[in-house]
Amino acid sequence: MTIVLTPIEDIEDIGDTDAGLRSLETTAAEDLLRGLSKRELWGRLGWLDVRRRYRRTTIGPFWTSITLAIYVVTVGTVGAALWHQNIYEYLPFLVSGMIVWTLVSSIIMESCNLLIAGQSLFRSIRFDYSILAYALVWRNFLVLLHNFVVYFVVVLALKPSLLSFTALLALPGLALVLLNGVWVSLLFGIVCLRFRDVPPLVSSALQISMLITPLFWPADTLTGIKRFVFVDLNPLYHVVDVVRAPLVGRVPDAISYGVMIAMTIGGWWLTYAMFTRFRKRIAYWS
Amino acid sequence: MATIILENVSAQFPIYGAQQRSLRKAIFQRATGGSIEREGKNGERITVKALSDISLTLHDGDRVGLLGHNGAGKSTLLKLMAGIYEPVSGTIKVEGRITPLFDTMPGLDGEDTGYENIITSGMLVGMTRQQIEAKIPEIEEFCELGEYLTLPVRTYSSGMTMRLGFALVTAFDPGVLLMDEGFGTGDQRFAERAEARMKEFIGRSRIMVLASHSDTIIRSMCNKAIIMETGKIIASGPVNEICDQYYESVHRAAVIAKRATQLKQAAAIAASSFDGAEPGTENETNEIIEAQDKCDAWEDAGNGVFRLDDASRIISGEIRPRSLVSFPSDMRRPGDDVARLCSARLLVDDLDDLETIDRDELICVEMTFEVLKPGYVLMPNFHVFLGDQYVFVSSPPQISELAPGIYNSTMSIPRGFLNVGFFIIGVALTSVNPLKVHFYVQHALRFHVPEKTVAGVIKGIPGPIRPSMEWNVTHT
Repeated sequence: MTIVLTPIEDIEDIGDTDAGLRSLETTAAEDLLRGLSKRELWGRLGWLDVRRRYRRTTIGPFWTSITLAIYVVTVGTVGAALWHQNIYEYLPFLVSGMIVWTLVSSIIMESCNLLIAGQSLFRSIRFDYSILAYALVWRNFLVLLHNFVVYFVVVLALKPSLLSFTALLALPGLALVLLNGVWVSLLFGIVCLRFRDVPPLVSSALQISMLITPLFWPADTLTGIKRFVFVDLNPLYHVVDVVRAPLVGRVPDAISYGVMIAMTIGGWWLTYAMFTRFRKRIAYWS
Repeated sequence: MATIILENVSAQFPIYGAQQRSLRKAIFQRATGGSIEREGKNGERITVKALSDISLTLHDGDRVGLLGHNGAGKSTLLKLMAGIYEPVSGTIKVEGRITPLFDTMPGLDGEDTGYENIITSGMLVGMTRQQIEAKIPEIEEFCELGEYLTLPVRTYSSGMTMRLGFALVTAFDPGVLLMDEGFGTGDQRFAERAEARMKEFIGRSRIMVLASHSDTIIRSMCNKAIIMETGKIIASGPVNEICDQYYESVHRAAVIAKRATQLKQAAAIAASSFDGAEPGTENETNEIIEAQDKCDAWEDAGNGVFRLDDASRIISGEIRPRSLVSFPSDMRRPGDDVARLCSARLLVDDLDDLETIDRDELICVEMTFEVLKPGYVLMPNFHVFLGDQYVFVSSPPQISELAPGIYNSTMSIPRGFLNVGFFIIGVALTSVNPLKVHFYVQHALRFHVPEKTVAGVIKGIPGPIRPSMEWNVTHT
């Protein structure tokens, strides 16, 4: 074997004659689509993550449901007294709000860690980063399903009439939330990988948002300018409400759908731009 | 058919300092503009150039060894070929499936069982569930983990985890195989089985690229090699040629350093035996510097050391006997402003054959040197080596201050003193108080002492010398 390695002179020739040659570079669109097509893989990654959390426990995944149930019952009893609410109305409202909030806040929180935690994967094999985002959203969706058990128990016990066709409107709302979850995961994942100050910032912002978003108190308790600032201008209110409103027997406001659709388009546009621009750098940042 | 084409590929890693990566700094740079920007211009873009301008084409059947020191860019190049890093500039094109072997099991999680990890890892490397399940019996059989496969991986020893990873990765079609040398395989018995499987696995691969700093490994596994240094390809070609080159470059420095130490020790010992002078403390910090003033006939290695041949030739064994070196007055002679060497030669009775000298001959070694400055106590000395091994250093029993002029000094090696072998003599002139090496010409004279083929004599007597001693064997 005495073949001498020679630097190639003209790449075009080789590229033309050899149809099988492909570039190792991946564009943002390829990453997103190929990642999505590996449903088996991200489904598994998400599912295993959920399962690992409850390894070696007896009641397993229902620990989240039980925690939520205890939380809702205690806070609900106090809250109903505090805001002078009817407990039959207030508990379903609180439980459905908390279910959605848990989904939204854990997607946001975990997305900060998306690429930081994924380093061990994409530094040892070639990887579509979007798979991590799909797995994250899928994992949180599975947790949401567990939490829905609490909703059904509460509603069946207190106000079975809420289980109507209106409740089905929660599904398109949920789809919108999950669709936004993917871009949020990717965007936050990229930003937090580069700037490590962002995760604690996001964490404290979320804590405050939990209080200023109408979760414990109905949006209608605020009026005038206060309502405008904390409810109408608060995107998290719309995110929560497109799913929560149908669950408490109300059709979501058109403006909430409008905000959600705008966020989906705007968020995806921004994320796609960022991903296109910085996808190449992700491995170098880690 | 598999191909890898790299064209002008470069990669650099940004290094973010502790304060540098923060959002605050990015915002403040924007906000405060000019003053911090200057700091930013200098301090912000700290990058490590890991690879620069690599162009390379690999085809089916290529088994390529990447040689280089730590940090030469071997691993980065492998990771670029694997598509883990994308080049900052340049293009990489590949054909065929790529199998990187950097991590034994990507995505391994200790909480999951062996079987679960097989599926996850397999999917991560691009297999479908059906493909993996079809391979499970083979993996089970090879890794010999038995019941353990149903237990969480955290209960495994590290050797067991490695076996699992190895069994998994070698179960699939390798395509283009990219390996870092640290890919280990656990305990001894398994290592033997693993070696066979690894050989078979590599055999199935279309292209293999192996990074290592051992030329021995590369020689045994590759047919081509590349030497990398500071992110560049500095040589590429057939494996033996390139490995020889690498071996020389690595060992050359070591040999020169070793010689220098030996010389200093010998000179210091010789000097201190004369008048109890402190062995040269002032010279100890000096280092042998690579040749800068290279002339036709010799090179100055610094610190008074001169080489007549390319060090690489000495190491590779391409050296021939030499009974005379002489530096005519019209050329620059090795030495310094105090003294210079004119010539050195071997003198034996049998003048016909100076390359091969009988060990029963009286071997005279003569050096002629010119003293240029008065006021130095000069000590000529000869350093005799058998191959790489120091045999002895010799200098005259009396030395004195030498006035400028030409001097001749001779040393005789007694008959029957040397053993057989290839002897090398270095010629040196040292002054004592203060200790200074004026010249030390390495490998000045070389000759061969053969074994005499006399019936009944034991062959292969060890040791560099074989002087006849006084003996008494008496019957009591």
